[in-house]
Amino acid sequence: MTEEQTHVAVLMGGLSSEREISLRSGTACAKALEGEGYKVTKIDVGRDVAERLAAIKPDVCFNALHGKYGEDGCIQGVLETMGLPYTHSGVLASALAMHKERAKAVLREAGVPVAESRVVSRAEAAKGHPIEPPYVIKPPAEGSSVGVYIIREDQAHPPQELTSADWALGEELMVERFIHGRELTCAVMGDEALDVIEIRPAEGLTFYDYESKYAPGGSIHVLPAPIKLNVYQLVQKLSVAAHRALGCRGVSRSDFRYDDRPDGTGELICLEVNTQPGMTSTSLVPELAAHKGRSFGELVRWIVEDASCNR
Amino acid sequence: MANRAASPYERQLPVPQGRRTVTTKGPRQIQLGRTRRGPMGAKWQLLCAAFVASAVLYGAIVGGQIEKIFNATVTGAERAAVAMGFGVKRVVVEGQRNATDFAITTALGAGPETFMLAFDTDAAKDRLEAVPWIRHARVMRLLPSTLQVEIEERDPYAIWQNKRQTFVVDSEGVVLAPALPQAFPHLPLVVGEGAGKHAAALYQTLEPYTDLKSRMLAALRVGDRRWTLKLRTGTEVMLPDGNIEMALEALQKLERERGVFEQDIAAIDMRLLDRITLRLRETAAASAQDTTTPAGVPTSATGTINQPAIHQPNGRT
Repeated sequence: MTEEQTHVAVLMGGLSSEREISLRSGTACAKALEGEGYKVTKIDVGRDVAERLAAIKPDVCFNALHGKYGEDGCIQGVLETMGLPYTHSGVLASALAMHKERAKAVLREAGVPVAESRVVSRAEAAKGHPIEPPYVIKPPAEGSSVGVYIIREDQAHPPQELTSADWALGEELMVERFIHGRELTCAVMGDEALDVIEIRPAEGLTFYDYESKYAPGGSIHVLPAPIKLNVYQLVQKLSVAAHRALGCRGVSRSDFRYDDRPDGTGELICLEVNTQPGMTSTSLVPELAAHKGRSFGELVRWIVEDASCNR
Repeated sequence: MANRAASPYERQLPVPQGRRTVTTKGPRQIQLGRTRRGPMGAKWQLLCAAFVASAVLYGAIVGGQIEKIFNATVTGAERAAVAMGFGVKRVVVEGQRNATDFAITTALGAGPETFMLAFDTDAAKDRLEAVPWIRHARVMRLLPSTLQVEIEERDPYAIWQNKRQTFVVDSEGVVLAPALPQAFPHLPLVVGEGAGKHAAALYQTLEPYTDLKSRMLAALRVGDRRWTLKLRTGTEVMLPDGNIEMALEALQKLERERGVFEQDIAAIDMRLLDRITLRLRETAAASAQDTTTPAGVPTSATGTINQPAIHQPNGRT
């Protein structure tokens, strides 16, 4: 089969709270794939996804979904059942990485340092601090940073939203020790770690024009991250170790915190592994690939060529 | 200029052979062709003209070509008038700074053989205004033999480098002349397709940012849609397509708070609206060789990173 004939179905949108970013990722990937000479069909994933895929019979499914059903093993299970080769991680790795508490158990076992945490009921979390502040409350199985609360040292009580009647993030919550320090992220592509980016919140860079798209919570990316060489390499090694421990395939992205404050603990902690990292042309993984000299088009081509079943 | 005569009115310019730059603002005189013509020469020419005219008239009457003769007579009369001192002997130029004598005299198209009264000043004005340096021109006859040229020149605004050539351009991007940056050291250097045309808009925006401007080596136009500022330190500041003012404001703040202009940074990427990416130079990224291992990392996790994966891709399409 020649490349020109390869028919790629880009799965995007979906039913999760991260639908919008998925549509952006999918649109960008579809455009880049067309630029690479593939026949591309964009599929806004709904409950009828299996019927639609059966109708168009693609050669490969490019998974540009994020969050529930797209990142947690569900769509991967459908594709396995249909025998359609697909990109990114398989059923088990996706499900495992999505469940933060269970992923931690696997990562800890593989020697990747993770933050101590407990799963508590919403009632327990609301009653009083379940652990010593500062800590983070997050739903154990949501993608991205949906529903993350940071409780600082000086906060006397848990957030009031926990007792709210319209709470929509489930009755089970993960309470995790807050890690200070630099925010680092590293991507793994196949078997190889890419570079490490430091992401700094741009608090000093307030943009006052709200009509523009400059987000007030904008960030500064430093590439490569200005950290000690051995720490830099350690982040790369841990990213590959995490990728392997969870059984990820294709590309994944691991987020870390490194506390190198003068009075800090000096610890390097893996916060989470993303099996479906953002894939707009300006997302972190494409930014890291570009730093290695791979264009966005080359990146999506690599991902498609890596697609398979039994992942 | 060293070879300039003390008074421009006295100076006798040779017909220029190449391009020259003149920086005077006062009126100048460009002398055309021979400057002295004796009274004997004029008389001799008059006699010749009369002889030719009568011979041609005779021939025309015999051959019946009177119309041609009339034209020839007019030409002859003009020549006669020129011979009597109504030819263009002097050109006085006002407002000339950068346009060359050669360009002006060529555009003017008048010489010692040109009859003053028959010289088309409107056409000459149009030709002069076609010279890139000249925005407006006015041509007047000062009888008996002087043409007065008043020009308003375009102001050089930037040096534009494109496809390995450099030009001086005005604020509208009109190419004025090929020029090396050294010829106009006070002008900013802009590089790339469309850079000349958009230079004025960029530098007007940069006006309040004196510190940044003083650090700039050149402004590079990328894809004729956005700018990258190249600083003397080698750092590149990649500006977005739009919202330049906001990006510059953020950059100024970044410099004030973090001193980024003095750091070992290859690029400050401001193309995206929600983030700034600082690309460090290799030397800066790997400078700290401290081997202290971060706390809390078990040694079991730090195996080699380039081993083949347990799973190999299969079922590839």
